[in-house]
Amino acid sequence: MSIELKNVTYTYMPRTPFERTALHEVSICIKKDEFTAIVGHTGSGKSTLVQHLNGLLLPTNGQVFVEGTDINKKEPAALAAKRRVGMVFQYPEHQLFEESVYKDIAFGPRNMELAEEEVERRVRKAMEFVNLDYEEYKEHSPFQLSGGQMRRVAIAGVIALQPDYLVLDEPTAGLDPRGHKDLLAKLSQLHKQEKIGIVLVSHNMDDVARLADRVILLNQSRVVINSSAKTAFRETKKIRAAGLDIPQVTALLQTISEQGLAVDTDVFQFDEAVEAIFQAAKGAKSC
Amino acid sequence: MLSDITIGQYFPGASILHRLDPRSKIVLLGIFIVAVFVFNTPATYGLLCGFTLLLIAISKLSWRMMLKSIKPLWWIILFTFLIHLCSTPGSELAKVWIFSLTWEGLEQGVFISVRLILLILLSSLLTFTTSPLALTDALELLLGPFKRFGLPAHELAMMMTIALRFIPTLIEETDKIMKAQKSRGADFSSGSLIRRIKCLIPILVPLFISAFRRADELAMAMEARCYRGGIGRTRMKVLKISRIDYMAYAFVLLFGTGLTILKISGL
Repeated sequence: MSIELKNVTYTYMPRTPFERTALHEVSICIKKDEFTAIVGHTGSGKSTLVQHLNGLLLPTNGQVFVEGTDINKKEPAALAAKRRVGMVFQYPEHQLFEESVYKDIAFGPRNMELAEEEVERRVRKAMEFVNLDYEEYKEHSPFQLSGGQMRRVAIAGVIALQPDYLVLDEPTAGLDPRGHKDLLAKLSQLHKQEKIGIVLVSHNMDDVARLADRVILLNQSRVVINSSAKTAFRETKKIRAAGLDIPQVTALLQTISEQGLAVDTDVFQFDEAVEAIFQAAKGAKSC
Repeated sequence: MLSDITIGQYFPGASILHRLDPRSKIVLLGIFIVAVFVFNTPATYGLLCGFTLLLIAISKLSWRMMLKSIKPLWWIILFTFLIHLCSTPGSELAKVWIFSLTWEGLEQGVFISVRLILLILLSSLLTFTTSPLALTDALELLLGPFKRFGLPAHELAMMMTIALRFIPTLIEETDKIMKAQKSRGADFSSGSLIRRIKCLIPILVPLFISAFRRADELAMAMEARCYRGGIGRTRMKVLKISRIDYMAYAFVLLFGTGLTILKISGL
């Protein structure tokens, strides 16, 4: 159960003066039971990479397999495989177009030619999932909602497709702290309860540290780190070289450990870190 | 897909064509367009074609790029060629169904096609070698004399600058929206015509909304920087006619004289 990229290279506007390689020989494997984070500086190729996951971009070289099916072959199985991967773009609220919230969320399921009862069931479920009351909002125009609500409608529109994998390109950009926290909690819930494989593209290393099982770091169109979150954040140098910062909790623990107090630097949750420091301090005293 | 659109595309470079003053380029392009219509004998067309090829070589642009600029109008060229081939009376070459293909029609068709191709190539050369900013600056200056007759030259140029500036942005935006809707299962490339037109709604609505939002933001930003029309504005880069411009004019004058002589002598 995975999405696999084999030696994927992608070049924008090949054979013109504007030619630019955005991905270089990328081979990664995204597992369904992992929460994967793709991090990197602006222009490192993150967005290009995720657009390969459901066949929006055709690799210049290399192959993409979803559950073992090459999605860029021209056969019905490839189309079905593509549909297993849902994609939420940056600022997804910019893609809303229907006159009511219901119709907009139903756009995807209707394209899949589902029966109307099934469409309604899915819309209801998706709206409940993003905390929008079905009866209250279904007839609302999406354009009269607040920015945060619009984004939730847009995300519901993708969730209603019931994909096996959900790819989100910086879904929290421009949200207030509360919306930010709520959305990430929802993603975590989606991963744990619905067993959907999540791919999160982000700059925010604190979020990544809190949520991700696997971290893929891109720098100048190449994969620099591809490992479990624990080992990834030990590579402070590589992360800094890529123009990013290590999570604040890790930075704090690393500083403490450099100062000579033996503390476990592999924890990323705030309360776990408190506990680790507490334990280390206790251990130091008792010696 | 959408990145294939070359209209208004500018390729930076340092060739003679790039360095020519944009005003000269516009004026010379005007002269050539007139020439393409006036000098319509085989010999003069040969010369004009040779000249266009020479210009492309001088510009150091890739030939692939130039061919690509013809691509969008390929069907129109073919269509006009066929119309002329079938509808011109004269000595019959062959008969296909109810159409009689004539020798004169073939000649006429080739002429019209070459004319269209020359027009496209020459105007593409202008936009390929001139930055949009330089182009609108030049237009504003060229239209300057008409200001006294009430022509809003500055406003027109500003509108053009803004329009050109936002073409790539809108293309990018369209691309993004198309991809987003594709990810939700929209299918733009199959089905009947009516179905396909219906498929445009999920693209056009968000596109219009974002265009209006951008326009609003731009107006606000311009106002915040005290923009109030062209009166009293100065330029950072002042356009100057230099030696190569005079040389270009001299060359074109010579070339034009040659063409006129050929035309008069009936070749």
